[in-house]
Amino acid sequence: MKLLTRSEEYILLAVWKLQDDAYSIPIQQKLNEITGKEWSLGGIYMPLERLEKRGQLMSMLSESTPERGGRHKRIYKLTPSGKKALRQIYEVQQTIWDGIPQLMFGMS
Amino acid sequence: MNNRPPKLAEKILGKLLYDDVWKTTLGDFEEYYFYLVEKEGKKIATKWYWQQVLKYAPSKIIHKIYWSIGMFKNYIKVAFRTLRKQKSYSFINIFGLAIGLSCFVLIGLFIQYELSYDTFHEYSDRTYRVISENPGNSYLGLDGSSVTPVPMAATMKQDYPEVEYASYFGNSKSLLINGEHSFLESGVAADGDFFNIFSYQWYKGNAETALTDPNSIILTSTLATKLFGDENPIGQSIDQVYSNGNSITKTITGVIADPPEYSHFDFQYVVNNQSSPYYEYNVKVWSNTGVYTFLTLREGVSAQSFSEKLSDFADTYILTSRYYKSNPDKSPIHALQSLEDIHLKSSQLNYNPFAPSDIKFVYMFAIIAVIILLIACVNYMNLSTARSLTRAKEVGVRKAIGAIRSNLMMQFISEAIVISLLSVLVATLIIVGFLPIFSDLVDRELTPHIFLSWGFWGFIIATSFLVGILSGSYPAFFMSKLKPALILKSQVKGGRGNTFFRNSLVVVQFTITIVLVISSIVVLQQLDYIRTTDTGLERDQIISISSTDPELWDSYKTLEQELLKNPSIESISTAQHQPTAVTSRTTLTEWDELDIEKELQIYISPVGFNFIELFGIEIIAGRSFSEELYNENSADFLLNEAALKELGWTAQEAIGKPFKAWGNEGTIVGVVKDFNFLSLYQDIAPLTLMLNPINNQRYVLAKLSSGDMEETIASIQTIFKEFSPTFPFSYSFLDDNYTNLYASDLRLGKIFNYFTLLALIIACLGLFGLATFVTQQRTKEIGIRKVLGATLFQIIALLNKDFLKLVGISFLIATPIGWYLAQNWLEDFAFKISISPLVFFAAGSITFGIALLTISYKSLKTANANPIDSLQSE
Repeated sequence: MKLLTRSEEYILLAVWKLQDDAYSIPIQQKLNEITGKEWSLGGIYMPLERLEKRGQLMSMLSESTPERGGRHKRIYKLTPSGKKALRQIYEVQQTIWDGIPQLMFGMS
Repeated sequence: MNNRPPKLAEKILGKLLYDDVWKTTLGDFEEYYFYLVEKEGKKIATKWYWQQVLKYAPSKIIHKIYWSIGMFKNYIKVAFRTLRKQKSYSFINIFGLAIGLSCFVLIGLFIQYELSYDTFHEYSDRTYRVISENPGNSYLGLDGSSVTPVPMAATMKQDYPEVEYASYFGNSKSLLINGEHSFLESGVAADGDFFNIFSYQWYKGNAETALTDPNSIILTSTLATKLFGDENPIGQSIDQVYSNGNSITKTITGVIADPPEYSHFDFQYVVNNQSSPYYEYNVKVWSNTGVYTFLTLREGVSAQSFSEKLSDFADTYILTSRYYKSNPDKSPIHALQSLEDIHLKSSQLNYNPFAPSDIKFVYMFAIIAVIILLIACVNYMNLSTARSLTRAKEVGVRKAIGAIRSNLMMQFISEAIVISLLSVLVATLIIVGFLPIFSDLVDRELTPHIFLSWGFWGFIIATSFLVGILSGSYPAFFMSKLKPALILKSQVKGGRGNTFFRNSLVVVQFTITIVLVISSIVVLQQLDYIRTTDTGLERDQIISISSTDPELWDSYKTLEQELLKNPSIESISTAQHQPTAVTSRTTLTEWDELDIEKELQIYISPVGFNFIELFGIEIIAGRSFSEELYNENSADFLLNEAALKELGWTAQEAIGKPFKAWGNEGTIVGVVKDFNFLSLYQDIAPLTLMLNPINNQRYVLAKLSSGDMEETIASIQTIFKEFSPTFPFSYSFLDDNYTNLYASDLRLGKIFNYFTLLALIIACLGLFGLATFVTQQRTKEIGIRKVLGATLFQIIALLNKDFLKLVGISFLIATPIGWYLAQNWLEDFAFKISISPLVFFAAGSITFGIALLTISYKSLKTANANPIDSLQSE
């Protein structure tokens, strides 16, 4: 199975964390918060769409809300396959970080 | 504060992000917009929102086009299948539309040509001709004049700072002699800034200096080649012989390209008017109008305000002259006429240099073009709505599998566009083939150069799209309305509305056609009337030989004797004017011996002995001119009835009265019956014929006996050459001169006939198509009727009845319209036919007959068919 890219990983994690409120704008805000840089909406739509196509995310329309001009939200949810993919990338990272001396952090 | 995103942008985005997935996006954008408003301010937020529009637009548009092309391919495929399947419909549609389109384009070319007159001059947009209105002083029925006095141009340039260039020119016709070669050519005598105002292509010499020397002459390349062959003409000299017999040596200072055909005046040479023997006199006289004054205004000067400024020009300059001091009420009012308008808008002005056209014809043509195109479009609409039922199943299936209404409309409109593009191909062939004939017909040099220009093709394609959309829109509208469930259950019948619409279209078509037929008949009748009416002046087998050679006139008596030796020449006379167009006029004022109540404007024609007899003019009182009673010291006058009426004299009173014209005193010797000495556009005005055997005459008139005309004319030419070796021999037949007065209307009549014929053909094509369709629909019905014993005639009557009713209704509508239009056209003529009811009867029967033949061809076939064939298949 293909590994997740960094942005896919972040997005999946953000969706997971946001739980029931996981739609485009909060996801974007979350990412801005975590990474400290400005994510564009387009930069979120593309991976979201890709992840959904791959079956790692699923989405549903919420009730319409007045603050969005009466339009629906598309709420995302992690699928088991998405969780699996996250676990996989986590393991890969752990393995890679293994053996990197603690000293490194001391240097900075 | 309103914190909603910009409305327009939201709308556009809404359109761009149309499918389900994107429904939420718009909401996201709005939420983010609020976030940005709070964080960065409204300005940045709004900017961001618009950026999203730009970002999403391209991909969405491409996406949309991609899918449309797919659908479009299918539309085209179906369109061609339908075309192939129904060959006769396709033929009628394509051919009918092609005829319509080619008429439209040909007429378009003509109109474009007419509008292009004089636009080739560099400053044509700010160059004007000074014209004048002369209230109470009308001549040939008009009081506008295009000629002005010689000093005007120079005065304008000097006293009006708005004028950048000023010039004038007069027509000049003279003999040019280069050694052995002599040619009688027409040119212009100009002065001032002539070549600054009028731009011509210079082969040799230049515009600035060529005309400075009084004895300079500028030739067109044609004339230069005629006079000098391949030699360089610059610096060479030729002799110009003036009409008074004097000749002046001129030096060639320039050669220019021949003036284009689309120029309101034409010339072979340009001379400096200062060399004219009359110049010293003319340049000081304000009361002699005889030249065309042109001004180029400085950039930014409004012609309107300058024109208003000119209204008192006459008071300042012209009224100071002796003539106007005693006749102040005759003061002209000056105005400007744009150079570009001269060709089309001079019909109210006298003294136009060359036969101008009339904007009225341009409008008339434009209307005909649109009408014919419209009739052709109607055919398409009609046939496809009629056929719609046969395609109802297709529409039903398309709708059932999800085509929305706009898809279907697109399909039918694109089908119409396919047909109109195909007919463009056919039309192009027709245009190329008919361009020479059409050019000939309208008497203009239209060239197919236009086919090389992109603009033309753009125009053609745009027109065909327009035609496609126009003619496809009704079928599209109608077909897309059908209900799929009903169609598929085969319950659709041609609704009443559909039939009504179709019938209305047929009525419109035939109304237009009948109006055209009525108009053509009236035009033909009037033209025939012109040709055959007795104007009181015989014009058969009379030739008029024009000569300005003083030598010839000096020895005229001998010439006459020589000519009369030829037995084919019955009689000979002379005149100063073409007898069919006497344009000289004089004012009869009260003098000691002549007691009249008011001044009288009277046309005057100096004629020779035998004139009255040669033309068969009827004398109603007194006597004709006579050689025996001729007295050199007293002029003999004949007056026409119109003159007597104005003067309030009876014929008996008039005879023997003293009379004076152009300084010649004498007596009235007789009264002639009124005859048309001008065109039939004008009433017969007062006229005097003055006996003047030789002096200042221009024309030798000869009546020939029937026999070999060419031989007689050749022998006349030989005799003339003996008496006038340098001048070319030029003659015309009087009946040609007469018909030439009506050239534009004769042309109009011809063109009208062609277009009427075309309209009739197109309308009948449509009717034929419709008849085919309807008889097809009713095949079974007819089969049953036949089985039950209906006769052939009954069936034909049944089928024809409906159509003929429509033609009948069209006739009722067309009659008053046709009458009104024809009457309107006839208004131009003082002598005209009265429109007889027979015209309408004839127009009605012609159209009715042709329509009947068209439908009967189809219905006869159907009625003759064996009912077994139509009934056995179910």
